[in-house]
Amino acid sequence: MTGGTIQQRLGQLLHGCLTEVITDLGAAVTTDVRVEALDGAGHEANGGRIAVVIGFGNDHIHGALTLMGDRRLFVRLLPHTPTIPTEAQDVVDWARELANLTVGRFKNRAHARGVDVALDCPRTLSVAQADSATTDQTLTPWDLEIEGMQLETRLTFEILGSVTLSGPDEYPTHEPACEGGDVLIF
Amino acid sequence: MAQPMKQNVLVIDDSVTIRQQLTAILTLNGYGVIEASDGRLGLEAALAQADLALVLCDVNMPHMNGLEFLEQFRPKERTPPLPVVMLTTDGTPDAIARAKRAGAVAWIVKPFQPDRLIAAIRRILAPPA
Repeated sequence: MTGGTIQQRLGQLLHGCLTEVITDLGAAVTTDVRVEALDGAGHEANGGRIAVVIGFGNDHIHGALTLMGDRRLFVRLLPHTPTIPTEAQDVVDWARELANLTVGRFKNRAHARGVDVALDCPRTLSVAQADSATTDQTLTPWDLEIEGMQLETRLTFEILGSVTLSGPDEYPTHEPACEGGDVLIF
Repeated sequence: MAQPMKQNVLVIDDSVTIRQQLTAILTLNGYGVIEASDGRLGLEAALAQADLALVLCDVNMPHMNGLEFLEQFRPKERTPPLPVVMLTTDGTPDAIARAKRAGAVAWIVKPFQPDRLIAAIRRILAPPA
């Protein structure tokens, strides 16, 4: 990962983590494709919109990832548990957990590149709050198309001081983080 | 012939979806489940329940996180010791080391694979050879 500002490079890393998380859930993801925008009635037909945010950072980085999409999209991304019918699952909670899984994976990958961050707990936003979340530090939104549905993302990074994001092979002495699925019995 | 006693697992996670998923998996594999939605409620449940076999605990939670739960509950000082397995997105060495120092017996990184989770629990709860 070379080139670009530190925000852009961190953003690319986090973008990759989000794509991986969704792919691991069995959904087909297309990036950089704009799905036809829906009006209010269109979103309502899909069960309304859900927006969540999760903050993360350290002394030098203050970041936040916002995810917004139709309820139908987050229903598609629910984990498959045979004994639990879809209508019994808390879709908004799962949207928060998706944000948590994404930034958790980002935390582990950033650690491998010399950057350590702490995570906040994910929160639900109103759509109006999510729409107004753009600041000077918001990167150009990168939306994902997931099987004909759009997942809107907003990523904000505030960099305070000097931050170095090493390349994947530049931190060989740093103990790597574990990855999703890993089991350690002490 | 008497049925073997069901082993009870305390699941501590602020995500209701994760708690549902874990409850379904554990129940399917013959375990009883008690749920708590954060570390503080988990600590209350762990102190109140006399018949727990194991605790599955998230780290990133409101009110009291999983590492704080461990450090307050001190599982290895219990009589008998109660195994606590951390289940979290965090895979960083410092967090894992802190949990190990505080008495956790295992660390599983989300997203977990159900069969590996059950295999780990069975191994942890297996009687000593």
